[in-house]
Amino acid sequence: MTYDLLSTIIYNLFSPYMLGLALIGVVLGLVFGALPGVSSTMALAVMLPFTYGMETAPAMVLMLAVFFSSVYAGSVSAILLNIPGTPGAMITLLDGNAMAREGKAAEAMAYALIASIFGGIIGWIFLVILAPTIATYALQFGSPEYAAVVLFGLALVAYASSGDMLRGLAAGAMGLIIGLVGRDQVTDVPRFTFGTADLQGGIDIIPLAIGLFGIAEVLSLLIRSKTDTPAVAVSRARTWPKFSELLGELPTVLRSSTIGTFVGAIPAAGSAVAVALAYACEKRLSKSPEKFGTGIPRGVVAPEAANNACVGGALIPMLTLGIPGDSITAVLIGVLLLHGLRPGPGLFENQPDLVVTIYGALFVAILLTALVAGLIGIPVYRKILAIPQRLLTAAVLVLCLLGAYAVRNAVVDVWVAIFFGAVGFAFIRLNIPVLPLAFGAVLGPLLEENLRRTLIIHRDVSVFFERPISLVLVCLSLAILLLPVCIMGLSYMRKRRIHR
Amino acid sequence: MSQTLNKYHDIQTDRGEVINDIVSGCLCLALALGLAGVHFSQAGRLHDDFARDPGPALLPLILLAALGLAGGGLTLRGWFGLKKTTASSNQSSLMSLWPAALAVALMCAFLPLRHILGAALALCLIGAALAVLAGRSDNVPWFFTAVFGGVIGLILYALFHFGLSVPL
Repeated sequence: MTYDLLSTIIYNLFSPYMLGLALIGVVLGLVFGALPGVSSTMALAVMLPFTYGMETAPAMVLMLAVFFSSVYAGSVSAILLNIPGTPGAMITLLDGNAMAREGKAAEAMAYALIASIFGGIIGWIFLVILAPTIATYALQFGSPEYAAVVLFGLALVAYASSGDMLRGLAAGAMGLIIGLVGRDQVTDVPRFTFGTADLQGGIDIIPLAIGLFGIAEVLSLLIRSKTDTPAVAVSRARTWPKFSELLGELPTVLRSSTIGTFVGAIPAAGSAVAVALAYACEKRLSKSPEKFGTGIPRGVVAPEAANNACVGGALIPMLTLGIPGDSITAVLIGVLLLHGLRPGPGLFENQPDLVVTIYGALFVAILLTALVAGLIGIPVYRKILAIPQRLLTAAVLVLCLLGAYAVRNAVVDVWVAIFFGAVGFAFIRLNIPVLPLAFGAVLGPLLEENLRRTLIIHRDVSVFFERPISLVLVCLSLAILLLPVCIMGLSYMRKRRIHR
Repeated sequence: MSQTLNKYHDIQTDRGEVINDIVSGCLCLALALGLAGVHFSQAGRLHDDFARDPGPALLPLILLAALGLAGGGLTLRGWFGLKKTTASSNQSSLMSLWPAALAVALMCAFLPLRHILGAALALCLIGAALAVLAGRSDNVPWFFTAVFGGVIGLILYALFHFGLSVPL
């Protein structure tokens, strides 16, 4: 990358238009993330329609700003209300709310913000260092390797998703079938179109994401009984911790951020797993583990650093391999596809300026989150948390309808969003993980393209076992899929032995 | 590893999860069979010569089989789980889902209403109805909730129609 190109990108990123978009994204992300029940994915799904008319770079700037700030803001309701704003904040509430109940709400929020910013920066550094290396390596992948990578990603998603693996597999298969709807790219044969012209072009990923992550979550909120929010004592005595206290938390930030980045990079492992691991790690290393959960800063720092480091981690497989790290990056892939771009190693080769813009946009989002969240205090957050749910519900559902329509100004997309909203709601009720469905829909065409190309060129499935990378990935996928079956078998045999 | 085992064990001891298994398994089976029917009705036009000429039928066949197997597995697991658990009285009924069903119905009404009344009025009405539905247990007069919901619908219409030039 030339110096001129780099300076142009930096100049563009810091232009009033881009900074304004990033600022809007950060503010909206802080509001959405702080609201209980509104996840980061829903925030991004709601913001999607506003990116349709934008160029790719501004669209990514806006979405990444919403992404990062909403992940941080999940800690606000965890600390003040004892309700996690996002799944990643579910561990933060243990010590964060305990601190708040002791009158240290402002201090807990300061620790959460500082840990989030440092976690985000460490995740970003890993992204900038690792992504080009992985992409260069991935450029050497042939279609067998690519098909094996997709298969491996799907196996991981089925295994790691909430619910259980059998349900994850069923959801993943449904998602892959959804990805095949429409005319076949090679032979132009229609598949699963039910004779309608509207489905010949396939099911667009954006209305599907709006339905699964926007409408479905609001429908779940509608039937949830309202809970009283516990009052929290707010002290203005000291907001920011001392420098020496912060320095004492530095090893925790480094450890937790590293865990967060690498767990975030594993497809579907997600921030919930990362925060649990980081918290458990700190508890194990602590000289006084019994203090965790009673309201100590380290109990806030560890999950928040891990949670925000996940953002950079999740972008690594998305940018380098085109495989979403979580549901949020699945929506981000939708944004890139909408602009005619497919993430993967080709993006680094053909659109290096966009990749650098994405790096820069995330960094700007981190800085702006620090600035905005640092400036606004608890009274502002209390006002945000007081937004009536009834108006929020109406706004989000109407926005979902309009957003789905605005993708292509097509009525069918509204029906697709409503249909997948109902499907997502049914999945939530039946405890079937939604994520494999979305992953399958995103990765289905990629899997088919590479599988068919492999079989056309090599004429035999044995090629997957002849090439080292695909062999390792296929074996790992099979191991992941068969592992629970083996465990169940062993457990059954042990039980029988004990019974005898 | 043990987490998976515990997860499986926990799932099997919960009556609600057993029923979830049966319902989702049956749905998967029905979906796999239904889609297989659609797929095979197109088979005359699909080149499904496996391996030598992998046509458009290859992956759908594999996926339909996977979906059917997962559905069968879930149904069987649920069926065996039924014998191990007893019915509990605190299971939520389908009737408790009416707010979600009504919200879906209201959203479905958007497109017909848009034809009859125009997008602005349709969104205003739907916004009002959704707000009243969401605030049904709040101690706020429903009229004010409806007005605020309607205003939200109109603001969003203006934002998309005039701000983003979406031809509603």
